[in-house]
Amino acid sequence: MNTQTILKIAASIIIYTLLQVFILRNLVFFDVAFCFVYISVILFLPSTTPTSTALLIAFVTGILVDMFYNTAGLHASAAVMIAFIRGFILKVLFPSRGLENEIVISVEGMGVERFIRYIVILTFIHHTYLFFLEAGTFNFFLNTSLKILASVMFSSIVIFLLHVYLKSLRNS
Amino acid sequence: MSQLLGILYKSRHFFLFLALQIICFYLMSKNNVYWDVSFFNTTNSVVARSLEVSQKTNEFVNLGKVNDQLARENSRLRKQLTDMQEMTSGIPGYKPDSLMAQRFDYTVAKVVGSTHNLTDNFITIDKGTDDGVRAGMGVISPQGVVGQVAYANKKYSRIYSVLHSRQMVSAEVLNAKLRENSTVALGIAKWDGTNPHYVRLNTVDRFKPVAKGDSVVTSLQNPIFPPHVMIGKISEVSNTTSEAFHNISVRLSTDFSSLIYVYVVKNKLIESQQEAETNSGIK
Repeated sequence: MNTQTILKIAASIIIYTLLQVFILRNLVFFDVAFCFVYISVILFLPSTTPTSTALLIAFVTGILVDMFYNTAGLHASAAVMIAFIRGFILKVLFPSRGLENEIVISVEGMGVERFIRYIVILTFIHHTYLFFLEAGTFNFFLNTSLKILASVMFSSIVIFLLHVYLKSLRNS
Repeated sequence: MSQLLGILYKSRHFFLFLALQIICFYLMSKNNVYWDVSFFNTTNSVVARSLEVSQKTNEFVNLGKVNDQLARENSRLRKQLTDMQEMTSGIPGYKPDSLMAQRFDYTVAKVVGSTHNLTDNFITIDKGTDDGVRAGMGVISPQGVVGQVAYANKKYSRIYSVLHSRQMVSAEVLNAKLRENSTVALGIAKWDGTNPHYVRLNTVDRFKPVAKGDSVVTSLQNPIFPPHVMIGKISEVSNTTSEAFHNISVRLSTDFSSLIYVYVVKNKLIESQQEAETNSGIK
């Protein structure tokens, strides 16, 4: 991991956390569709990142978001969860590739279809974990499920578009 | 032993994951008051300050809505105030009918266009007959008198501003001496067409004690405006002994160049008053 990668990761933590805290926190559609774009930090870590590093980055990002949401530990826990699971998902989606030929996590590197599948799966896991943990019980199962579905759609679209947009900014 | 260590090393990611999750759950548990109170909440100064900034932007974006709400609230309060004032007139032996006391109603309207430096000035507002605005109704602003509705269609109305050559307002001067003598100094305020900050009040009896600085308000004897709405303050009084009237210049309290909200005044009893005045058949 060289300095450039570290700087890139730090920048992405700052950008996505600020976006999340100042803009998307106020953006809730119909009281059910939330957008948690900060998980992009974890989703788009280079695939060569060791799991331990990814876990620590996820924890820091989650704690930062928690401070603004007044929910100590909730987002951190969910973020750590997907950072841990990410490796398995990548293995399942790309069984043929090993460490030698690394996977580039981007539209060009994965193809649009698989890229979207990757985002949606991880977003779904994150949101399911987060909303059920937040609800604390399974008593509001239908309501929580509705929130999860609506939020997964909303978040996935925003994450995808933002990724493509930031990528094009960097290239131009 | 080395095998055991090897297994532990292999699953180090899992142990880190577990450790972090334990920290998270420890933070989440409600028993853990210290962290919750001291660090992880929005009173944390850095967090609080940044949230304040975001809140301020929100406020700025919502200013229009807040203005609307305040204007509506003001019109409601104004209605209550006039009702109260009318109920307690202070004249012994006179008890106003409650229908009479509550005859004034206010509609909030937004100014969409206005002039103030022509000879005949008009103001356009965004309320029309759909909201109960009719030609002839009075219009006031939070600062004072504005004018009278000239024409109303479904959505918009045009208003004769006080700064119109044919617009006149029945006015009254208020001061302590007049109150002591229990007399009323009535007059008609009319714009002379020159300075948009001043109107003339030329029909006040010369023997009424008026002075510079006295308030000029709408009189009790007019069906259009509620009584005692501010018109302005006397800025100059000159009288030559040969004339019957004071020569008074009044500085308007309404700033016509910065009108945003106005209240259209609806007098519910105006028709019956006019009917009594015109159709009684007495010549």
